[in-house]
Amino acid sequence: MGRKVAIVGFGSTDNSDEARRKDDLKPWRTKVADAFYNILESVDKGIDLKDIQYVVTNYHGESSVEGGSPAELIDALGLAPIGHSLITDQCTGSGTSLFDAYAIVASGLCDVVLIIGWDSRYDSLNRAEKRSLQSNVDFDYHFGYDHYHATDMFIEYFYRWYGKREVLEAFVTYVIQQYWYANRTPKAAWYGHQCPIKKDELLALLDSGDEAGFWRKFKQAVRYVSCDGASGVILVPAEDAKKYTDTPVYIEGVSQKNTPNYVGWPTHYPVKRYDWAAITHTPSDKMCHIISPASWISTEEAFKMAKIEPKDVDFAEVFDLDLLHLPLLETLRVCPRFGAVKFIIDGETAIDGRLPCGTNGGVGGFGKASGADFSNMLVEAVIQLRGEAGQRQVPKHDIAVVKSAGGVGGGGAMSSTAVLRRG
Amino acid sequence: MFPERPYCIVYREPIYWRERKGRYRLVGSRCKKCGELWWPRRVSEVCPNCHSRDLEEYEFSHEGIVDAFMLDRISQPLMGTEIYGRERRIIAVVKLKEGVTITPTEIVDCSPEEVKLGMKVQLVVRKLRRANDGNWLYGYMWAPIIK
Repeated sequence: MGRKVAIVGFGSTDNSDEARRKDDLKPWRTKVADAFYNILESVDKGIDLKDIQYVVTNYHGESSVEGGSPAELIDALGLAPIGHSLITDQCTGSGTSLFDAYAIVASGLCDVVLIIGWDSRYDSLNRAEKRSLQSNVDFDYHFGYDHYHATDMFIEYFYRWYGKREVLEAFVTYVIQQYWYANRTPKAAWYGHQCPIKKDELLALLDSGDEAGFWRKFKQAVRYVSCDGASGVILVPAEDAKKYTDTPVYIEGVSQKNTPNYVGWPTHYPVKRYDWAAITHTPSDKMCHIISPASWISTEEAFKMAKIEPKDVDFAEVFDLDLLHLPLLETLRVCPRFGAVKFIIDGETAIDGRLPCGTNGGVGGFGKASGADFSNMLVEAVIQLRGEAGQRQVPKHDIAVVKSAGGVGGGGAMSSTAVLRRG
Repeated sequence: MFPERPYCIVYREPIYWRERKGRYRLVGSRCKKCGELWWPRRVSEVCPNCHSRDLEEYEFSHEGIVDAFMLDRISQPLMGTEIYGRERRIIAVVKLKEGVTITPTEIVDCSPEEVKLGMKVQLVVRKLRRANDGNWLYGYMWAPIIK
């Protein structure tokens, strides 16, 4: 495994209403620099810019920014001539960055590595790219079908396997919880926004057969914020961590895995070498578009590396847009397969539950800058582990899991997982 | 005068040309070494099952069943708005006898109320949009099988 690795700096841009009003005035380079200086300020004992030897960054891809090169970003940060790897791996990309940066430090190649995930949603020259479903348009005609349609189709399968009433109750429960966390996270997009729904009222609409009314009301709450933003961390070898801070966070496990990104592949991907049904703990007649082996394998590998069991995890930051966190929670094995809905309805992801989850308001409540999704969760996990989360501080904060997914194949063709431990 | 293009659609004519067999006849790939079938065609011409690069064309069944469907709920227009208007279209997953699923695709020639899971459908090829040179491009869609 090489050297043990620690996080000594962390930071992000501000996604609150007030900050986002200035988004149009700030190109992505400014956002990345804002996050960078926020990260530098967090290093308790200070850090010399000359100590940073390498940078790994990520944006979502699919033309979510106007393009870029490693040189442009290093110049933007004033760090030339150091090395820089630029990754595009969609919503899990900054997890991929973490994996690469971890390997660079663990191997001994570099001692101080900066990771930043970022995105700029509105500077895109080619908006059409955002409408096509992934970049692999070679083999499909998409007729305008995009991520939102894919998510809707996933929900059809969620209804089938989990039960429609149960899925919607879990959805409502989780969104209300996201508001609770976001209102205790000053940088969150939903900070200061009171939750506009009440669970009982919404479920009453559903139970009376007024599904249209349910959605009309519910959509007032599910207003995920897609925004510009950036966040990241600084990695150093564990033996050097105390030079920078008395409260480092250690990376105990890290993994990144990929499985095919064609939406319909889980129902027919006859690679005999892999028993996808067994890997995902799914009966073969339930293999569908929400099954992501990458998520399962990534979690398993990170847990194994960290030598932990599900019972050891105190809280989790999970990619929780729409309902994709249902199967992702199940990969953590904190609940049975197809048991995530009950887990959420029972309040187990709330702050006093078994596994507090999405404690910064979640991906959509904090503010979705896709390239920064994983790094936003990573930063939140570090804040929680250090006991600095204020009103949203989880009671037990020794071990955290950060879990993300990207792409649409199986609801997450790419998946990154990190296991963190308080120093 | 060609219809005005929806602002959000990218036009990649070479891709339509390259993929015309898949798009119009459901031609995927078959590995000549291990016999495995692939949809969509293996553009990389690599079989993930046995790593052979010796693949041939395979025309999939033109009949299948509806595995999942939904009404388009997204406000931004799908391709073909100039032909099909702004009616909510039926987006579907269609499963073929070979086991592959075709998605995203559409159900046509019936109302949403008539669509049922497991309903038998057949391939139809319908107009999708104009190419930059004015020619019509078509896409694979599915209509109920009428006995």
